[in-house]
Amino acid sequence: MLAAAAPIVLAAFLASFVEGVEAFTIVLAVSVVRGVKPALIGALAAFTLLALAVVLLGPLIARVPIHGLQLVIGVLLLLFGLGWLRKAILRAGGALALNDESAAFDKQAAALAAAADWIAGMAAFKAVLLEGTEVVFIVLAVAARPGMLAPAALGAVAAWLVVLALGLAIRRPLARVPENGLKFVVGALLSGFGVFWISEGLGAPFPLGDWAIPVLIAAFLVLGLVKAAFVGLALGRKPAWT
Amino acid sequence: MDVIAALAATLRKMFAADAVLSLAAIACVVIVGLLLHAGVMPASAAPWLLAVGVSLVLVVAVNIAVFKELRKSKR
Repeated sequence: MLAAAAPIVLAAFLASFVEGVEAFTIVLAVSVVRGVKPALIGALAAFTLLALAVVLLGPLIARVPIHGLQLVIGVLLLLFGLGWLRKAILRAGGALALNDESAAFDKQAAALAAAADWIAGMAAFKAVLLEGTEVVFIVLAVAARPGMLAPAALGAVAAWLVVLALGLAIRRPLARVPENGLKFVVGALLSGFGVFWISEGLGAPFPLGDWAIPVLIAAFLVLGLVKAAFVGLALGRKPAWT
Repeated sequence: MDVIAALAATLRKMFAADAVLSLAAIACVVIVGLLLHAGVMPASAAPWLLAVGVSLVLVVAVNIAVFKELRKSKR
């Protein structure tokens, strides 16, 4: 059980942390340029919608036949995880530019300078809703087994609280968070869960049982790191992990 | 409407940012499922074949992106 529970909470926490950092940048820009009120109203409205989605969809998913559910969720997790891993490898190898939260903040602040308060509030709402949608999917997907929804949801909420606490403490975009490194780990976690759920859904489970999850995650992580080093070599660029 | 369009774009970005990667990964799952269903492959081998298959898909998708980047930088 621990072999499955620990990666579930970790996946929810880390994915939520990465998305939280991106959402926080925009909410902070709204707050600095247009004031705290529209930023808070927009963010809270989106957060309420996301919480409702988890509360409504969580028990609904539990009613779907387990093998079909594992197969569908496994495929979606695999697609999502491989996408993150591919992007993280390309960024680490220097083929894609790293995400720059300070630049994102400046761009958003400039765009909001002449906007009305309600438009600024909508920007905060959209940022939290869109980044949060990814978190909700990850929470619902990795917790697709009995008793795992609450730990996964708590992991995700804890991450957003940490982002909020860090952000309020420094009152600037969290530009020094090693976002690509975190995306690397989350990509490996989601891909590992994806392959595990698909195998279970196909009726051909791994002989190791739940212990296959950490093995798969480690394998994807190693593959990603090696591949990123090769990408750096091929392009003649120094690998950048943060 | 703007929010719904942005939500749709987010969902597309989540599952099909790289169409080749997504389609190849799905093809990999379908092939393993068919081999299993046809009884050609033992159930104990299927999960490992799936893991190796999707790893290859990832490597190829990264190679394609790197190849494109190399071609772009040579121009």
